[in-house]
Amino acid sequence: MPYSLDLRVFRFNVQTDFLPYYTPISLKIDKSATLLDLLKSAKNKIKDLKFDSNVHLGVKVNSVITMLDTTIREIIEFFETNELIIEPIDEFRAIHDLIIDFSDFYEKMAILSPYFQEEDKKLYDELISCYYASPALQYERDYLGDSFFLFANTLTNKYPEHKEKILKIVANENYGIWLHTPLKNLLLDSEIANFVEKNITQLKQDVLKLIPNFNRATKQELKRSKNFFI
Amino acid sequence: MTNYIVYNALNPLYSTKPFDVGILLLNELNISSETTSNSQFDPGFNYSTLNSDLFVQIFMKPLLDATINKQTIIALEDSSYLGLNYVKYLLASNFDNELANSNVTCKDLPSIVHINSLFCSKNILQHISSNLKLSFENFYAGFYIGTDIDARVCKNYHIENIFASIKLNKVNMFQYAPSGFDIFTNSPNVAQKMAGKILCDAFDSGCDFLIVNDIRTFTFFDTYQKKIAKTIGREISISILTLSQVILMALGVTDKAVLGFDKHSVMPTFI
Repeated sequence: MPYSLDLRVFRFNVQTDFLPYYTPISLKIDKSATLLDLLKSAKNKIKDLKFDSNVHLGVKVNSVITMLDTTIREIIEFFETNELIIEPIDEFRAIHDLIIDFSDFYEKMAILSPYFQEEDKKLYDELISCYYASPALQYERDYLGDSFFLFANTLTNKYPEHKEKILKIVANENYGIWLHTPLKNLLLDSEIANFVEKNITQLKQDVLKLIPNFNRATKQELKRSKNFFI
Repeated sequence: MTNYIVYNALNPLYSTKPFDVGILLLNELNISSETTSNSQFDPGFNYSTLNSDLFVQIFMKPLLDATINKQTIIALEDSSYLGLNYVKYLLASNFDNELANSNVTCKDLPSIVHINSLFCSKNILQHISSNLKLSFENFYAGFYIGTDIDARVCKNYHIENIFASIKLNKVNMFQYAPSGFDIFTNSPNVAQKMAGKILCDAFDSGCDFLIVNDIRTFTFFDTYQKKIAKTIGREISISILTLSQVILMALGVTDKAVLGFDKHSVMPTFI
């Protein structure tokens, strides 16, 4: 059965626009259709709408990152409304409508380049939504990003000979893992958020085991907790 | 009838009173319950990363006690709700010996409910509506969820129904931004900017007050509000309340000390 939706779609062209704006459209779509189908239907109404159909990237729906294979039913159930605001995964990096410049994503990957092979890049590509979901990135553009830590965690297991060097990068006081905050509710797919949390928790524990004295603040936190709870 | 026990070992490093008043509210609503005794304080969910063994030990006792006494545990706020559920999951999946030593099996482990979920039953909503002493019809409030607890859990509170029962208007604001508390020790500047964004969003959306469900979030938003305002370079003054405090006020409790307002840094001024 078709479902009536009221959309407001983010529009911006870096070459012609000074500020972004939103195009309102109404359309009907089947509940079993996906977000990608919805964007294609939107493009029928907004002929020059640009979006990236990379399934690993996703877009923001009502400020929550939603993968393109998510069904309309799941989206409506989560937001409990038929009014949806569609935005790029990171509106500060928008180039043309929902397409963004993700050069920063790959610049972060390059930091780990001495420790991985060409074949490993594919995994990093798949983590792009986790990178732009990282809230700390809005406040600290040099933050390494949650995708970086997931990638690093995989590399420490795959290449144990590089583990210590990788963990030292991960543990950077200003841009490292200590700026991570949970992604729950920021990604509509809670399984991805749980996966991120599980891996980052494991990585934090590895950092604490291998280089326990690296971070004054964490030491203070541990000391305070130990004094208090034991 | 459900046999409830309240996990009340909230961490005294933070502002416990606004959440402890939940016990008073349970009495007002005739939900009979005991409180846990000799439980260790909830260290906060992020402590599970720093010392997972100790984290398990802390929550194991109240879980096993409730199992033996066939009780359902009421968590007064998000952090203890998450901690209890996480350790229950770990016990069920990794700690067979510990359970066997206590003559307990996985399926005996107790249910854990968030206090907010108790307010949305038809009977309780009716009780609140029919005993309403103070109407909030001229007030607007935001309901902050954050990124620790799953939004799908919070949907079970049917918060719109609770707001309707006390005639409080709900402000539409983004509920899922991180509070920043988790990173406050390591990156106070970024943490305060995160909190500032939420507080400004609430203020700009027309909230008279902001309702939070987590003890750390409360402490951060209330106690550190002046510091946060200074960091983001904007004046903010918004009262932070818990749902229990708001419902108690609606039921006619106006004593500021009983409501725990004397412990607030940003004093609610509307009563």
